[in-house]
Amino acid sequence: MATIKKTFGKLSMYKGDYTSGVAYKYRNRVTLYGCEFESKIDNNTYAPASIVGDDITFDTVHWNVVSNAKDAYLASQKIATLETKMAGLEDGSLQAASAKLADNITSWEGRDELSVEDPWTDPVRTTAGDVSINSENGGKLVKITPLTDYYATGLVSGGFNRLRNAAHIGSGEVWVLDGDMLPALPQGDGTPQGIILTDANGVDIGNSATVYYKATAPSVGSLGTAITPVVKTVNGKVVRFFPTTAAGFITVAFTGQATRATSCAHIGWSRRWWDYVSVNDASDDGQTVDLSGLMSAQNPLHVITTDVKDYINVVGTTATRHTVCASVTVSASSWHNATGDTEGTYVHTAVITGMKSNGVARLGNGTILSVNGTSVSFTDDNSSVSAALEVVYELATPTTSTVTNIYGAGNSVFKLEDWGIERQAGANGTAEFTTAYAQGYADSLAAIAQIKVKELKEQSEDNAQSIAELTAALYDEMAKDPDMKNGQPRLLFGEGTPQEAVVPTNWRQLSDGGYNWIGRPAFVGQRYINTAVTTDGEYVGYLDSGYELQWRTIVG
Amino acid sequence: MAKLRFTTLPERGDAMLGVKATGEFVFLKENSFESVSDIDQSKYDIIGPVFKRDGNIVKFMNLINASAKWCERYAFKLTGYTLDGSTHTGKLNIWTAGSAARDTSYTLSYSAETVSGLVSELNRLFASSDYPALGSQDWFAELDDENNVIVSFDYVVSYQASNTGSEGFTLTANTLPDIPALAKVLRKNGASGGEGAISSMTKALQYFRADLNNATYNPASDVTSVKRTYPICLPGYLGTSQYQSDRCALLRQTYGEGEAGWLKFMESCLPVYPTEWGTMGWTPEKADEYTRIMAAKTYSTMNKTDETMCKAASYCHNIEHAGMPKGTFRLPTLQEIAEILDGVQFNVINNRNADILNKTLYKLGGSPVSCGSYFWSAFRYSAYFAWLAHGVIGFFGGYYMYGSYVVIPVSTYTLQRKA
Repeated sequence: MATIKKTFGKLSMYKGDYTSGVAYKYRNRVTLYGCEFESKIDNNTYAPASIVGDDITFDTVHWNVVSNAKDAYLASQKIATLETKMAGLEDGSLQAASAKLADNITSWEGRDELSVEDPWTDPVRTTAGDVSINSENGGKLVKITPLTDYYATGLVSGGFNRLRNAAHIGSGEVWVLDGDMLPALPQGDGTPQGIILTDANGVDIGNSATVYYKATAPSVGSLGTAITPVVKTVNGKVVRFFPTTAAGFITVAFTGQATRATSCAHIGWSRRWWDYVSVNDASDDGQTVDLSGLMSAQNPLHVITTDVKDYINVVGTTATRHTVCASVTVSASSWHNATGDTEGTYVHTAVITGMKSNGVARLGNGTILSVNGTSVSFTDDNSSVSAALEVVYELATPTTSTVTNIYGAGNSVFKLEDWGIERQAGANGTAEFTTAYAQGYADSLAAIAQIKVKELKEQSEDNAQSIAELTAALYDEMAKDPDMKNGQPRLLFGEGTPQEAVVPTNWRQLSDGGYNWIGRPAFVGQRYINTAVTTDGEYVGYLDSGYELQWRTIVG
Repeated sequence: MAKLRFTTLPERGDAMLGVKATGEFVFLKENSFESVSDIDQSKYDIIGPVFKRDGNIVKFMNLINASAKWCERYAFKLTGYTLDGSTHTGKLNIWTAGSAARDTSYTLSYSAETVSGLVSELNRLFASSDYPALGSQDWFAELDDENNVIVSFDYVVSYQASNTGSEGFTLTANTLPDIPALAKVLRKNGASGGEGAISSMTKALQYFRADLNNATYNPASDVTSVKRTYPICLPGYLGTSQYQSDRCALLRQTYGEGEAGWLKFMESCLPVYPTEWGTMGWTPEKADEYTRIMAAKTYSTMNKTDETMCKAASYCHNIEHAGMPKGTFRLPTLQEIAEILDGVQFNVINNRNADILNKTLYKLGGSPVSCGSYFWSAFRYSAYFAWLAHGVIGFFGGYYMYGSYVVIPVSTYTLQRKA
């Protein structure tokens, strides 16, 4: 009997990546853009897919889509782009950025006058009390204490009224003055330099309307632009101003009325220094303020945020506050042997020879100002002190007296140096302020730089995470085998009709990570080829009414 | 405070959040937050944890689960009556307790000429003090859309589904007729059938490690086929049980000796999924359809009005979140229960941080998922059972619908390509 060949169907055959111009036969399979396609016709020269914009479109007229991984393919293109961008965001680059800032800081140190560039952002209204800032990993609460110091805001009637570029004058308002804002004073009269506002009864007026402004600093030593004075009656306390280092200032209260109001103008003002860090929290992520190395202020460090939507993590500690500097005068009335003084009995004063009205003197650690709690008073070298001044100062813990006896006639003067009190090098308070100011500015910049570096690092980590996720998705897609479904091959080969006794050669048994063959399909549409016959040997899976998978013969 | 990290490819344990302002959804990496206080709830609605992602399909559960009955009423179609206006009787043989025998029979007398008249008479009789069990079970008669007489009662006792009519009455089961039943799950060892396929390997290993005096779990005759419907306890597998002789030589030949062989055998008792076979092949779309049908079912009696009949489905159906209206959540499929329980250690390990899913639930203030709990599915097992995951034994099975078990509302979300 002649052998009759009958073609009962064509098997799909993989032909590799799609090549344009090649004529593919019916059921040939190709891959393109991560997807697999099977030709629906013979002599197929149509491309199975094409990139249109940022998407991939399929030619389903001439091709069946066997597996669709176009998303993974498109994602892989984006990963390549992201990786290119990420190459620039490495730690080395960040360090280079901070080094640049360091250069700028260095350039500040040498300056001896203020630049018009202002390290501060626009001043921010603050209110008393704690600013609650959650922190982690040992961060601290940053407390902003109320500014309870008062500044004279008006002019006592009469006299000159030179004021340097105050931004505003008004009742209850204060201003912050940069640079050397000392008014020119008559020499030799020891004029008090400031007024603290009080009411008619001498009670300090509250700070309920405190507003801070930054005035543009003039060049050192020059006068600012005169402004129209506001003539008003002012009650207050005379402030003896001793500019200190940038750490703060001292309000030296002079109790009593401004007795010289009628003969000269007393423009009450106070300079206030504080260090602060400006934090830009635009990304809504927690920011870290690192106080390490920053100088402390008389009040704690001020953290100003421009876009507070999240929490500020404050870490680090500020540098030790500077102690107060002052002169010490000996009572003009008599000589006095300081040794053995008892508390509160005597007033000792001393004058720093040659100290300017805006000079600075620093008390070294361990220097004695007083013995056994004796009060001291402060003035400048131009003052003939007629009354003791209350002092508020911070001093290293006093030790027992090592002061030698001091003798002299009334009104004698003694140098601080004679008492072992070190005079600050650079008597020009302005220069000193400038240096300290620059240091404060530099420290502020450094703190801002740290924050920016942290922001960049976090953004870099976020980008790295996005890349990792896209890569994982791409690998997910790549791992999918288009020839498998529900863990079993789409096409099975068995030497016999599909039955439990005939295990297909490519079925994944339980021992292979699949499950045991029971002669049934794994899913609807699964194919089975009986390799023992040449005709009528193809089957397809279907679901019966009892929800069991069965085989049905494909009639060819 | 923790820096929250969001992901576009959520994995098991990541938290799904709804953005209140936009109705969109975001996924929060599980290791980027310590507690619910790290999440700004004025901005985000906490939906619940992800339990699986298949490609771009994210499967997630509601933060809070509940205990509820699958169905609390059972119904029969009553036939066999005669409506000629003369006095006739029929008998109802019912269960009032969970014993194996019907314990109560009532002969009811009626003389109605129409079905509506019969319904009125039956309700009067049900409320009568002459038939206390009928009253305590809140029996109620009504007509369906085809004028069939349907009698229903509170489903509270096993075997109530086997109530019968006689001597003038016939009872035919008619509970949730639009919810089909199918008790068929294929195991990896090739066995197909109802209960017994492992739902929680963690729990099953704990339960079956002991020597069990139960022939179902410790064969009393030689095992001749690897197709096992139920797992076998370890001593039984090893042939060292105090209750049985060695019956498992064939299994040890197939899977190996010792505990290592037993573990391979236990793996063969896992269900096959994904599959289209049996109930395990019933899809999320089917679960959604059945949940909606059941959630909408109410009943009224002489004592209640518009009471929810299927409270488990109703609980799921009525959950809302930002961007998720009612009807988003449903009862889970069997495959989803298996995926949820895969990796759950809480219960076997008494620590809510014992596995990633419970750790996230704990941090978010959600309900725990314990492998020792019973979890309802969306599917019916038989006329009177629904499919659940058995909390003590750790396999899938059917149980009386009136049981109050844990309901985990689930849903899926398709990840979108951003423009």
